Amino acid sequence: MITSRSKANIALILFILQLVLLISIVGVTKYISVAGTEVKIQMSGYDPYDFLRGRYLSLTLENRKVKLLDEDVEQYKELYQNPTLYVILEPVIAANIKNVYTFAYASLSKPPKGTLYIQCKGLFLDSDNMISIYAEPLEKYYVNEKLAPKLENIMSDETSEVYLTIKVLNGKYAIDHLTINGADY
Amino acid sequence: MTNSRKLKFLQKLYQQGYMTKEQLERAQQDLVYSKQNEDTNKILLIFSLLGVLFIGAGILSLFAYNWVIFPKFIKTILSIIPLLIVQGLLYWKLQTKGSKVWIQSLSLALGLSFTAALALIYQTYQLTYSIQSMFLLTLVVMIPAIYLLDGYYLALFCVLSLVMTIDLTMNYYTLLTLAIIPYYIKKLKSDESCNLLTLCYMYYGLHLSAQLVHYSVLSYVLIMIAILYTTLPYHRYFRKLSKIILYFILFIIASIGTEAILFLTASSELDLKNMGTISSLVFLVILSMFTYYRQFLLYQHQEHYVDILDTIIISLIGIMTTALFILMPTLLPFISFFILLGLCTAKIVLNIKEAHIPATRRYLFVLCSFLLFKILFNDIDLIVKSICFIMIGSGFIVSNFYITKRIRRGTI
Repeated sequence: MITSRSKANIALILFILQLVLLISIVGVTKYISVAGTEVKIQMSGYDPYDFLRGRYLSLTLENRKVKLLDEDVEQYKELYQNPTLYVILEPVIAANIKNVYTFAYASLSKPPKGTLYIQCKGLFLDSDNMISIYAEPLEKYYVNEKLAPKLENIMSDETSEVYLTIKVLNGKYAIDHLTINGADY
Repeated sequence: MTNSRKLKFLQKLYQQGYMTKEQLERAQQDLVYSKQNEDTNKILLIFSLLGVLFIGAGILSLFAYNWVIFPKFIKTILSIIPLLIVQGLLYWKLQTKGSKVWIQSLSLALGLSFTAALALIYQTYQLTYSIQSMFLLTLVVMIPAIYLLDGYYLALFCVLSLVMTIDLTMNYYTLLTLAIIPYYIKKLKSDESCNLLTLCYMYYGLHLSAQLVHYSVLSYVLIMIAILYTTLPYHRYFRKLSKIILYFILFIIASIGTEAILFLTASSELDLKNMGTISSLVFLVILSMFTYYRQFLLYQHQEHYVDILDTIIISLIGIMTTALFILMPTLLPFISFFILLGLCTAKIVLNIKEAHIPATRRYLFVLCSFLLFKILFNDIDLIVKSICFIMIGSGFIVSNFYITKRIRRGTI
């Protein structure tokens, strides 16, 4: 039989673990933000609502289809349920904005150290071995309730330039900020 | 053993000569008095739970506004403050052997404040994982707390939040909800009512089986189970469950909208439509006929005949909902809203007049949860939502203190 004092003490340990978990989520994200390499990726999007976290901009990768390495094609076809892909990033030289990257190719094996890549899920593979990728964390950006409809309006204009800045470290990434037509949000 | 059974048992003992008339009357009085006490405690519990639920929803809405004036660090601190307050209160109440009302409502508040903290941290640091993953993390963290604090409402919150956000793809990690099963069995064994948790698990089980077989199976299975539960004779729990299922369906349609049908049937196609107008209506008419027949049998045995009105209302709602869904889908949420609102208000007023506290409590809870859902899922300004929720929640908490004070003074 647990006494009320020992119950309270066990509860205290649980409470501390809950706080540690929350702080570790913040800590890991912060570490990637500080130590990661800055990468800007071109996006487009609209504005829906999430009842827990408020309004967000639902973003779509401009360049969703990536070439899958030839040696991985057969293996990929045999895999079930959207396997993890390693998508290698390469800088876009022609862009007039710094640190803009695009997806070079996707691979099923982890790239060597020093390569800039992100982890995401592979979806459909077409006959040209181009694969649709899905990176869930990149596809939402939470914004202020009043600001969201305005930003959606700007983004709906096809000439708008939308870039999502992320910090990448060993395939993991943290979202830093969103740039729409040169203004940061 | 329920109180009515205890009363019948006492009557039986008296008839067999094991107790005198005076002893019977004294035992009956004691039982009625303990029942009144239990009812008062349950009212207090329901008030404090509703208070916690509304204040929690208010805090969530306040955070969801996404305040640009606060830097990330302040937002992080702000997100943890409600959790720290709840943890502190809970620790204090555990040390001072707080009442069940306190522990139950604070354990629910623990779940809500943890989810709120997680949501704000995710929002602040742009961690855009799905809502389901957030609820899953909350469940994992709360499992030990459920067992330790005997937190039935915390368990209900964890399972319900996961079940409500379950999507069309097969996610095996939702099987973690089964970790609460031993607790659920323990509660059932201790003869406590676990209707809502049963409903959650039933829906989850149906969803899993539909995932494994075919989505369209779900609506058929729901109706078949409703028929079985309604028609199996002399099991009041079956009747109760079928009633809950139909209310639940109506509740979801009224609070969320026609899209809820997709959620209920877990299909990308409207399954009730696929079933065809005639077949779905035939199902519901058969259900109603069985129910009437059963009620007729009960009436002959002079048992529960007062429930006939309930049965007629529910089966009519079932048929009307299906007919509306097929004929006028756009009007369905609107009409369901008024049916549910009118029905709950009428039931509350009637039950208050008859001093039927458990039924008043049940319908009050349905009405409040309905309003909560209605405001939460609709496109109302978050600040307005937040103020509404906090005011309603505070109202419940203040009423609770007022009732407790009057009970202590002996004026109730």
